[in-house]
Amino acid sequence: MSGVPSTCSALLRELRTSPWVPQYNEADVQKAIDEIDELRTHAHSVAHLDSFSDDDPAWTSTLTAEIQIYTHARACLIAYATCRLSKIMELRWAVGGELPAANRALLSPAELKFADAYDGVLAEYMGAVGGGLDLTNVASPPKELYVGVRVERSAGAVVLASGQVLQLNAHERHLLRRADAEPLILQGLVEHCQQ
Amino acid sequence: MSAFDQMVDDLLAEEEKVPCEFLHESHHLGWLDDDGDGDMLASGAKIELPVYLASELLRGNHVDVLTPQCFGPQTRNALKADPDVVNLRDKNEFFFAHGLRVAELTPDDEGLPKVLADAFEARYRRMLDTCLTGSDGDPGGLTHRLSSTESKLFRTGLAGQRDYQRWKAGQAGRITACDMIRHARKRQRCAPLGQSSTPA
Repeated sequence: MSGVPSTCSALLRELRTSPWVPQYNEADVQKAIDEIDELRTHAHSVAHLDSFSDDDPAWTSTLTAEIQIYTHARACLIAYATCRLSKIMELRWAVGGELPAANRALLSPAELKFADAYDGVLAEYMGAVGGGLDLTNVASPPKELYVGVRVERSAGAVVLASGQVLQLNAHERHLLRRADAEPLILQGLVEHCQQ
Repeated sequence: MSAFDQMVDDLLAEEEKVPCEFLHESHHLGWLDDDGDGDMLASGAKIELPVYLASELLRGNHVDVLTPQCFGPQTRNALKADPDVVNLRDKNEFFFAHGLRVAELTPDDEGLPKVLADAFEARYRRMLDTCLTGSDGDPGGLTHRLSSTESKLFRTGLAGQRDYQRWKAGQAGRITACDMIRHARKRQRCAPLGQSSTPA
């Protein structure tokens, strides 16, 4: 090892520069955990050496440095995991439905499990408080009941919140109830067009 | 910008380095020094250490912290002469956050806090001006000169201005796809066909 290990900060930088979350970096996370483990074991063994002395700054500085480095690395790793989870929850509210496939592809298996479980508890909660009310819908007060939408790309048939089935063919225009249209717009399937 | 994004920025700012001089030798710390050899870190060794580490070692009286070059006389003079044109991102991405930490660790250096405060004030005015009066875009390459804190403020200002323009144009009620989805789709469109986005 030479210099302070930087795997954890590389993970955070990657997270910081991506629009949502970057592809889950299994290899680097494992490498970071190994680095932390190595330093922790080393600090532990130093403290139990026969020659170790509490009063000798040559020894206490070693312990201070190693403990600080692995504590910081651990904080970074926890931040990496927590931040990703918070972004998963944020996106669930933003799209008002299951995560799109392009986003799901970036997650680790454990994170996918979390996303599905979060989806489940949110659905359960919305069923309990409003008898099936979609809380993620209508984020701002509506001005009109119906909105005009334009289909960007064909996306097959979708089932609307009102139970109707709508065929989405490219470049078609539809007039939909606002509650039906909003999730489709948020998910980027159709575009809102205004008069 | 959520609380978690702020946390990530704070952690990264703590990793910015400051030059330290060891006041005594240390066992088993030779690996901290790229040029050093052996297990023992010699007394008087000069190493660049992350701020979080330097502050703890300073508290234990193990090291002396010196002022990093990016806060040296050259930068200070440039900031005094014309704060607007100095490229702070090149000097240090977290210039102000790091500067405040360095000021804490080097209490003898009394000039630094004032330099930071004056520079921030002057640059903030210019930035606000650009956000509120400029059209979309980046006049004079301003955003390339901003530190991380400034760039966040700049983006917030720009978004506020854009929302106001939308409201004025009667577009405020328009529903749009959420940002994260739009970004993901742009990336998909840019990726060449037949090439998967995940490395093999």
